[in-house]
Amino acid sequence: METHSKATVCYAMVIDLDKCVGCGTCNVACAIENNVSVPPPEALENRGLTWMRTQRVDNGKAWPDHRTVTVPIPCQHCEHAPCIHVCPVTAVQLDESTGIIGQIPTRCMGCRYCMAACPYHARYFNWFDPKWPEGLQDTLNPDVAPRMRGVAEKCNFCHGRLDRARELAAAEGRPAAEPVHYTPACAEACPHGAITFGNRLEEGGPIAALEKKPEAFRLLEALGTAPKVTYLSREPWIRRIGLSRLDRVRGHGDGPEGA
Amino acid sequence: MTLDLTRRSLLKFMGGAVVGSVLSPLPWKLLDDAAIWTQNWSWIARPPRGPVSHMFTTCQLCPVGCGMRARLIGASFVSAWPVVGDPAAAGTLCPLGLAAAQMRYHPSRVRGVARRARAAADPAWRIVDADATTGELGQRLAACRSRGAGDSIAIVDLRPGRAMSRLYREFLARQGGGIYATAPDAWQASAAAFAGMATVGALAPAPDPARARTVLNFGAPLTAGWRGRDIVPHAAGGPRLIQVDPAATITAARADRWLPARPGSEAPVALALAHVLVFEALAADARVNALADLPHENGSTLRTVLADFAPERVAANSGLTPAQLRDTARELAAGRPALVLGVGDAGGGPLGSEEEAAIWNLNLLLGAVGPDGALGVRPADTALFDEPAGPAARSLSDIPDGSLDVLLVDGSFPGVPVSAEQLRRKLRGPDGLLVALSPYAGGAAGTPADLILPVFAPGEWVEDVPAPALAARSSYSWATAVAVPAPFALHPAEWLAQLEAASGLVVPPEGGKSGHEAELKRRAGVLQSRGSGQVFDPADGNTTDVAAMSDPDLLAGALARGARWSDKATLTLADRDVRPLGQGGGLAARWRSLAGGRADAAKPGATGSLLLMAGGGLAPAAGAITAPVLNKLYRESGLQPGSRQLAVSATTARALGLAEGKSALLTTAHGRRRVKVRFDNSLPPDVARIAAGPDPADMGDPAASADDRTDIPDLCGAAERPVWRLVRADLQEAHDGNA
Repeated sequence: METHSKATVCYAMVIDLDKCVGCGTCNVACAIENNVSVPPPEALENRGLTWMRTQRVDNGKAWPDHRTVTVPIPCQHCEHAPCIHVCPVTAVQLDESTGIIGQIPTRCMGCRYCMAACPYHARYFNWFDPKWPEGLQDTLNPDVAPRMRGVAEKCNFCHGRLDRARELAAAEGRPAAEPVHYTPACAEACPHGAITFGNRLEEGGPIAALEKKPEAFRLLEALGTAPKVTYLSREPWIRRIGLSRLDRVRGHGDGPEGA
Repeated sequence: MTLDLTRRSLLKFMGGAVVGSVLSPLPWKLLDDAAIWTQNWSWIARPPRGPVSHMFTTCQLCPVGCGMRARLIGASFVSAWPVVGDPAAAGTLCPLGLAAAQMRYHPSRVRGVARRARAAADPAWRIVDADATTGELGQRLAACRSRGAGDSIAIVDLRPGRAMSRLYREFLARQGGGIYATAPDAWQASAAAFAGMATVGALAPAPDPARARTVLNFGAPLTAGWRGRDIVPHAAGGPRLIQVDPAATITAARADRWLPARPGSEAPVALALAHVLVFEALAADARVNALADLPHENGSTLRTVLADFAPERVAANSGLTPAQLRDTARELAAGRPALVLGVGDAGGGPLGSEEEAAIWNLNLLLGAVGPDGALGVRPADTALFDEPAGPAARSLSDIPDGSLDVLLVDGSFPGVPVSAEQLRRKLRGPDGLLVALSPYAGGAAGTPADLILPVFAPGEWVEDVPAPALAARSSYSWATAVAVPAPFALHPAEWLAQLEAASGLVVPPEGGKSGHEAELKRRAGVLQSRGSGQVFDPADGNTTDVAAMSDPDLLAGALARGARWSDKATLTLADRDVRPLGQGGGLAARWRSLAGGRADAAKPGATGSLLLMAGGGLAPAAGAITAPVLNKLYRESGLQPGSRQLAVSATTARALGLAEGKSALLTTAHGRRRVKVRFDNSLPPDVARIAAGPDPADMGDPAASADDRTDIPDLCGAAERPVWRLVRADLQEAHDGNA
């Protein structure tokens, strides 16, 4: 695990797939917190914006041996994020003080290189002006600005909540260098407690402990992107989801279950 | 040195200025400003501004009534979040509740009294004059009363047990014997089946999985549903879970034992387990023997009836082996306190009174009822609030077809699986009027209506929320007003008083909005005077004993701030008060008729190559009105199946010549519907499943057509049969391209 040597904070997320039931609460909480718009009715189904995508995966077997799992996939906030390197206008930045990969919509020129580069398909493009049914703009979160048409966007670990936590810490007179604790909307809303969020550099903290569990794995780990989102499962066939196609070619996977 | 200004030097200066400005921050600043400017176009939504505050309330979007923390910006209710420590659902909210703030602005919200002529060429909704419409309706009521036909007026209350429910009953009594009806959902039907086995009235079952060592569950998505968040996995110290489920669902996969029983075989499976318990004397004690040998009206006993349900006889039709059935019964007996839960996939409507009675009998035989068991008994809402006797509640299915002149449907609760066709059939010909008190032109009430009264949306008024059916504890809270009411919206009680006046009656003091408020306070006073139970305060997470509250108005004040009263199941049920074969007789015969599975699906002459299961899965209910943001679950991510997606195994679909994503016509004896085929290998062969949940068409899907508009309950024959979750169906490719 690589982290920034100078930082005292590196936010990370652990998602327990054995607890996740695919209810979609994280998905909805994220959309409400971050003013993620609903595309117009005439939009194609793949033109929607879903910062917390939920991917259903099965073991490839027929009834009665069939098993499914739902994998919530936010931006993985990679340590070596391909999206940063391909952005021609530096609209994607790694915040060294938090480890969060930020997307700056006012810089984005809509080339979508970052979307092509992201191996997790965790980035979305605003094909339409962000519009809500009449009156619904009164339910938007004032801490997060709606993005305009023609820019990419993605999960930012609820940066609006981080800002609020920092404001609160400042109001309480805590030193600016002191790490602040906050909870993203998906982690707060998950009814099954499947999502844990925190500072992975905190000694004895929950994230560090969970990341060391033997059932921990990351998506496409062989690509070397070093995601800050870790998944947990006791099921071997679920853990094989983390393997890349390259791994399977090398013989680590075993057919459809590893797919 | 002279200043030698030449044309060349001027050009050089200008060129240098251009190159220099490109290298300066200016163009980037211009780009940045232009980008920021595009964020401020007039048509881009602007979030509300103002001070941030929070209010506590109770979610009204499903019967569970979870605690909710409403975030307000100024006066705008912008979002809802769970309340940590709330006892209703362990401090959680489902996606429906999270999106509650959007319900006020739902695109299908009615913005005035709306009317349509269903027989007209253009049956579109039109806004009409509210006073004139109320006057016309009042004259109808007066005409019914004057000819002694008060029973041609009915109100269907989709969420009984509230203060508003009492006002409805009193209104009907004054109209000369109007009918107060309910349309029990799967949970309420299960509770009613239990109450029907008891000879003492006004009680409700209170199953508590937390007190059980073993839980046998018939099909409900206990670990995966929006309503099943209170069962702790066995690995984390919870009970052992045995799941009876045709499909390899998430709950089945996570259960400690999975019984893949054939759809519709719940009753014979439960009776076979009871057979093993009784005839192998696995749970034998004096109480169990007394129950098994209790003679009923026709001389039969539970023991004699169970003799017909030996595992060897049941196995053939249930898809299970005799060994599986015997082992399960032994595991239940050894793992007491055990609890057996019915309901199944609640989105498909009630499980059936026969199945529920068989399942409750299993609990009785396992000794689940009692101080050491996991099945408590609590007072029914009417008993809890000392309600005076009014018109008895009847089930909607008990009202004769074609008997009503005016049918009012309370649609303030948008998520009840009710057949639109069933509601329409109750009307007396084309002159009958179906009136929905609903904020929305859709859902269970709005879809079949001729007239919609635009009542307050959830969050716009104070309403009480009683305990859901099958809750482990009694509970009561108020959904407080967290949003400013829409100017066109009506208070249901206030409108009811106007209607009563228009019908020529004098509105009593207990009517109208003030009457509703008085009833809310009366209920709070009744609970406080009882002196039992606790009050959970969401603001600080503390719990206070009601007995410690000295001021008689304290509980009402706490409820108004979003607190929740709850009390453990306090009643006891003596063995002499239980009739295992029911009170009305005939249950044994009905069980025998189900020996081969649910008769409606397997009856001779039923056609169709597929057994179609209707269910909610994770969805709330048929015809539910859901917030626009739930589109992300139903349409954008495909996480939730919409009611136009038919799940079927790949093997079965290919045998029918259908590929994934193909458009197909699903035909039953009751209707047809265009669906998109979705491969789901968790299903057994020749079984299909369709979600009775929200239709993506209601979320703006342009692909909707007339064939898509058949509601799932009607497709499964809900207008004709009380149990409609299983039906024979045919599936054929639709030859008009892919959906």
